[in-house]
Amino acid sequence: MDETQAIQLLKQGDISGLEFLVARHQVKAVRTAYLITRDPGLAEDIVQDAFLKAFRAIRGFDATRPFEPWFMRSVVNASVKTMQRSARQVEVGDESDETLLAELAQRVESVESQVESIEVQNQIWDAMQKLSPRQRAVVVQRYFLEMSEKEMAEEAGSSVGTVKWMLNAARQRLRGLLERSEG
Amino acid sequence: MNDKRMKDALESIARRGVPENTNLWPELSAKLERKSPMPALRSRPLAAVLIALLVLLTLSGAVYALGRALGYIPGMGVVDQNTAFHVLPEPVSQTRDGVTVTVEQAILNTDKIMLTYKVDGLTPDKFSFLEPLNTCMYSAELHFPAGEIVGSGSGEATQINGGFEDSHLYSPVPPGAKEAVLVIPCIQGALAPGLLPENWELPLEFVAAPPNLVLTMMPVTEIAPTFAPIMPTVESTLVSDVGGASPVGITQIIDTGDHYILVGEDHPADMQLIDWILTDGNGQPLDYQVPSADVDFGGETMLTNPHLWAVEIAKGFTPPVHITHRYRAMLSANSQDKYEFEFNMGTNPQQGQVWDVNQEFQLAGHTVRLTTITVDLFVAGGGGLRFDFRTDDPAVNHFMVDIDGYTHKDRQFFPNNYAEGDPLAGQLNVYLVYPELPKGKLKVIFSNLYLNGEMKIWTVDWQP
Repeated sequence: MDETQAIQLLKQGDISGLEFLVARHQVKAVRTAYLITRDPGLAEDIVQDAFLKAFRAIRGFDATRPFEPWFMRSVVNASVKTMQRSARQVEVGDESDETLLAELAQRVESVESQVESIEVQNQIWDAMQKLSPRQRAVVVQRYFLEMSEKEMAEEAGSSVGTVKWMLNAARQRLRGLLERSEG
Repeated sequence: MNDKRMKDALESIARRGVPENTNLWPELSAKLERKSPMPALRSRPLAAVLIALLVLLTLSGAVYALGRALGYIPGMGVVDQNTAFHVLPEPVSQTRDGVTVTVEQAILNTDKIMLTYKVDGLTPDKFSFLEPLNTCMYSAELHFPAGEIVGSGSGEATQINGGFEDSHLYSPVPPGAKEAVLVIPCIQGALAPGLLPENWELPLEFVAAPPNLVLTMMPVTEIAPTFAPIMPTVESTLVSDVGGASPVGITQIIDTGDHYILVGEDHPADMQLIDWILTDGNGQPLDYQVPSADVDFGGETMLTNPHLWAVEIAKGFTPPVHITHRYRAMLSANSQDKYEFEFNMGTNPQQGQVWDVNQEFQLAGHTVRLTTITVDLFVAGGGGLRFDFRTDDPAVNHFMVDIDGYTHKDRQFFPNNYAEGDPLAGQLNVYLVYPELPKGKLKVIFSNLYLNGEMKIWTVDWQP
């Protein structure tokens, strides 16, 4: 079975089609949700719910388009909304964010192998925590899901402009820390 | 290289948190078995996707009447009438310092709770319904006896005299839940923390819904949704020749008694929606409302699925209704061109203060005029600036606006993507929101121009 056949089966109500899609996309989807929520259990719940919603909405899905971007968008949005409902929000724009990320950039750039080190990963992890859920999501979309700016804009549909501006803000922040480390 | 480093780091973090052998299928399939034991979608569609049998589409596909006991509850969406419902038997109210919170209504089934509460006794010196002035950052939650905490999902708040009424869905529902506490950390719209009573807790007990709840639900009949092939129209020199399968279609129709809600999806690649135009069988404009972006249409909302669209029209129109969707392609000018100018905000800019700048400039060869800059408080605890532009160049869509030395919290655009002949054509606006409003002499930078591409139009016809 390939993905096109799986989607066709699912459109006919055959859940073996869903099983195929779950097997193919679940790990990446849960990891995407985890990077935004920082909670593996919550990430699994979000992705399960996203698969259920995909099952219900599959008849409206344009089978000529790839499934993964459509599904991942649902996962990202659900993750952001879940975090936004949480009372524990951290505002963006804190000066300490810039300091932390600048220091992080120096460590990332200074030694080739340090990007692999657990310590640097933890620092990236902590730095991302200081981003808002929406900014975290655009970082995940751009660097983890490797979506192009155009793809992110296309997936956002009528909110193309908002996605592009938020991506620009997140990229400026990252570009700034990398330029600082190279300078 | 830097992108790769970031990707590698995120990959490593993700691998540490989520193992490769993660398997959601056992639990998912169990949920599917509980929710929907019938295998064939045609004979028993999913409980959350329900459509009224009222469609006669141009060149439409097959329609099936499926005959399950389904209903529509405004605010809750489509529900299966055979599931157990519980309700709040009577309103629950508390009053503190002249402010009264009343839980007016709650309906719950195994999936979700729709809960409505009202707050009144609010005075203008302490409360504003305008979202930008709201300082309460925490939403209401339901706390259940076993410790589960459920936040609010889709819904809306509406202003009433001296307060507001809030209706939201809360999901999921813990199995067997018959009581909960509505916790309201702070009153939405409070002009400052602590100005209004905080940390409300209203205990709620639910009872089995009376039989007449079923009778008050709007009946719904299921059909298989279809995408209707469209005859495209050409409106202007910017419109390309379109053909082939339409990316726009109707997927659901809900009869609410005196209105129809038409729900659909659009999937035009690389396009920016301009607007919808509704006309009746005589070619006359039809008034329509757009449901709240949070309304659940079969497990999706317009927030979770940007391709979802919905319009609500009153019955009594001359059929068929024509729904015309107009789209515009948006293209980067691929130019590094920038324009900078200095602007003095003064030391104490005030809400509503306007500067008539009237500054013409060029970006990548396209002429735009900055007409005004306005102080427009956009979010509480911050400062917003609105930049108004005009251009006679229909190719200009939008561009980036930045203030050197200031990092904005948010930036929102109203691009110039209007159709030819639209009285708003040529206008574009940008809102910048900062943690604190910039002051003094500022260097404003315009860059990264985007242009309007071709416009495409698709029309869907529908009649009862």
